[in-house]
Parts: sequence; C-alpha cells; structure tokens
Amino acid sequence: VSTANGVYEAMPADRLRALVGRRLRHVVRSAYREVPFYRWYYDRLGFDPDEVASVDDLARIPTVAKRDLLEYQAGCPVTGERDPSLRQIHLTSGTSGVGRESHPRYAEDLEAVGIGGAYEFLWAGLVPGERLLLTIPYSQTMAGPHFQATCKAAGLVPVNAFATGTTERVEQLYQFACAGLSATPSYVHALTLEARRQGRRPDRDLPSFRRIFVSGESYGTEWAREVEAYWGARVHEGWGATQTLGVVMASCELGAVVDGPYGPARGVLHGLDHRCVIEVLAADGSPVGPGDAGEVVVTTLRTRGLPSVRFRMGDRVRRLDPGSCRCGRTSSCFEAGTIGRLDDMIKIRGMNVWPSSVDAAVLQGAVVDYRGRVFTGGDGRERVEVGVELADPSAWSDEFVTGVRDRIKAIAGVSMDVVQLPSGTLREEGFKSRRWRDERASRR
Amino acid sequence: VPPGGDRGAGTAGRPAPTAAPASRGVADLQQQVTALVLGTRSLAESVDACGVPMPIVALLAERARAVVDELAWELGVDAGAPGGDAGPVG
Repeated sequence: VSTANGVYEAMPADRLRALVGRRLRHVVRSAYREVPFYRWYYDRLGFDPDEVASVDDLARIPTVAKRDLLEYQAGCPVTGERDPSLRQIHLTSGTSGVGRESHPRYAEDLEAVGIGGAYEFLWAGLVPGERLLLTIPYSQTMAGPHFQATCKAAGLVPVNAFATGTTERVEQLYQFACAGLSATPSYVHALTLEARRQGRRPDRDLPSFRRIFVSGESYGTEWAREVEAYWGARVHEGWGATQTLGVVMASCELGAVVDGPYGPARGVLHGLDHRCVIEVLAADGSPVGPGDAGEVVVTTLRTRGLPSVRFRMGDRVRRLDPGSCRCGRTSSCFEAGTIGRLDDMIKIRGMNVWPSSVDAAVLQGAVVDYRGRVFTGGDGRERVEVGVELADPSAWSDEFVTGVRDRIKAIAGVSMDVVQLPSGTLREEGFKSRRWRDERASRR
Repeated sequence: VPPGGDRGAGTAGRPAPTAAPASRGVADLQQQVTALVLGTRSLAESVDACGVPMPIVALLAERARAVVDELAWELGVDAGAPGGDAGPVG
C-alpha cells in the first residue's frame, strides 16, 4: 500500500464526517459572505446559509449549474472586478457558443491546487525526485498550473513537453528517464504508436518508466491492458476539473484497470473526501445507490476564490460501495474509466466541444445536415471529420469548405476536416439520428 | 507505520486503514501547526500594519500563510481560509 497521507487514510469515518461538516458549514457561510456570485444566487432563491449545520443538511443547499454561473458572470465578469487578492484566473475549456466560466484564484487556491493530484501520484508509487512527462497544454485553463502544482506537491520533477511534438516527447521520456507520463487516453495512444514507430521497447529499455496517468476521457479496459503491456507500466487515472480545483478522485496503487474473474475489469477511483464532497445524484436530485450511475455534484472544501457549492458537473459516474477497493481504503469509491457526460459534450484534444456549437457553425445556407466523427488517424492523433450534405451538391467548392472550417474553428475552438457527403445520405438516416460518433482507438 | 495510526488486516487479506485514533505524534504536530497558523496570520497582519511599504515581503507572508493553512488542513487541523477555526478536529 502506498500511503500519501496517513492522517486521512486512517481517519475514522465519524471523525472525517465531523470535520467535513464543520468545513461545509464554514464554506457555505463564507461563500455567501465573500463571493458575490453566491450572494446573488442564494438571495435570488431565498436560501439562508445559516440553515446548514452539518453534512446532514447538504441537501438543503441549492445546486448550482454551469448556466447559473455563466448568467451571473455575463453581467459581472471576473475581469471587471478590482480585487487585490486575485492571483490567477482560470477559464474552463469550452466554446464561445456555450460559454467559459471564469474561476478567480487566490493565494490559498494556488497552494491547494496541486494537493489532490499529489495523492494520485504518490498512491501510484512515484517518489520525490522522479520525473513526470506532462503533455497537457499550458494556457488560460487550469490544466497547466494544475499539473505544475501537482508535481510540486508530490516532489516530482515536471518534464514540460507540452510545447514539443510527439517524436520529441518519446525521446524526452528516455532523455530524462521518466517514471511516468500524464496525458489523455487518446494522446497515450498516439504516443504509443510513435514509440512503436521508433522501434522503442520501453518495457525492456526504459526501466524507470512505471506509471501512465490518464484523465479527461473514458477508455476501454482492453486498450488499457495493451498499453500497459507495451510500456511495462500501469495505467492510473485522476478525475478533477476547474470547478474542483484539481484532482478529487484518484486510483490507488492497484491502478485503474484490475484483474477481474473474466479478464480486465474496471478499477476504483477513490474520493478525496476531506477535500471535496462528491455526491452522485439521479435526475430527480436524489442520491443514487451503490452500483448506480448519476450526475457528479461537487462541494469543494479547500477553494477560496470561487468555491463550488453543490455544483452540478454534467458528468456521469458510477458510484460504488465505500471501501469496495481491494486496497482497503474506506473512502468513497467510484468506477474508473467510465466517467462521461450527461449531455452530448465531447472532449476533443482536451477541449470541451458541444455539438450545438458545431451545429451553429455548419447548419447554414444550403447545408441539409451533417455528421461528425472523432477517430484515431493513421498517425495515432485525434482527427475530427465533419461530413456535410448540401441541397445542391454542385454548390460544393473550396471556398465553401474553407468558410465552414473557419467558422467551426472560431465557434467550437477545434480544427475539423470538412468532407462532402453524397446527396440523400442524411435524409435516409432520419432527422433525429445522433450527429456524432466517437470511434477513437482508446475506447476499446 | 504511517502517522495517524496503525494498519490492520483487510478482509481481502491486504493491509487496511484502521479506525485507530490519531497517535500522540500526530497530536503534537497538530498543536505545532496550529501555532504556525496563528503565527503566519499574525505575521501577515503585522506586515500590513507596519507602515513600511514592502509588497515583496507582504506577498511572501501571504504565500507562507497559504502554505501553512494547507499544511494544517492535511494534518487534520481545521484551519483554512481566513475565518476558519484553528484547532485539531475530533
């Protein structure tokens, strides 16, 4: 067993519950007192934070949806406030069509942002001084600062490969004798193909390499086992978001895929219960039972700039019995590898893309309809293809394709290939058929 | 033995966290860090109030306070954002 913090990993449930209850009460009150959004939101709903005395009162607190925060920030942007405590602003990834939340960060947030991820890395068995290859881009989203802070919190040395290409990243794994890498499953697949192309055998010639940390997408157990065999490394997973100030669920030393009675099976994500209250709710707002799936609703206990208080993530997760992992930890447990969206959002190259934004870019003029496909190209990279059908096929031109591609890039934020579909293709499929298919190799 | 308690045998034959109370060593650490929390908060206030402009020092004091608050939380002391209670839990 790899211990990251024996204080909490061995803390009796009643003590932890008391701590979380006290903290929850403080978070709700201070959010109302100090965060303009919560004052606006709770006043609008007539909610009194003094109603919360313990964890038992959690369900009394109104949930918050992305649209609530966006509605408030449309009128009161973070950048419009003069706040001497402001240290960073993190935007959620996404599209201008749906809106990107702004999360102000204070000094306390910047010290807290990496702690959850440190649990993930230390549980996986990495030790201070080891090198971790980072591939997620550093931009105005939280991802860049988060991974830097996570390495700092875990004592790991970041190898900042986000500005290089896939070929160089494989070389850097060897150059720095990395112990692990952090990437989306789709990118791990691309890196694997490149390493194979280079004739590498990391299971034999890179003995330092032991762990692959995936996040941001679901993935298949068969795919994960193949990756593990090639790299000689175990696949681990962490889940977190801008709204949770980093990782709040992580796999333990057993990894994200375990041996089941009939082959590889889904492992367990452990909730970091002392840092975030994670509820899993059914559509009617009631908590789901163990074994059932529902929406992730989070309440952060360590965020100051903009805490999430019962924030509806729009993500779907399967809740498991606490303590159901063979590691013996008694934390809340969730199924690894299958966290997806309740809506139709698709994560493409680390960006949140809502099909509605592509609808807005494509469904104009002579376009009858379109179909989108996310797949793994021959080079292992994620590709997106939008097949468009025109009412008059003869209207297809280079100028039309360029116009559609530019609008998609501008509105959805991701580059996509645009191809013509034969006339009549889509009408035959029916108007209400789903427009998007996800055929990425890591889904196996 | 990790700080915070011993580990007993899990039902699957693997080591499992136990419900042991915090060890004396952890309790001592909690007392020490509680003093640090109060100290760094006091320091930050003193820097602000001392009358000599020194934003570099003020920002370092702010970061020190934030680090100590995080240290306290991970040690099971309910200190965090300003206004949080400083003291061991349970």
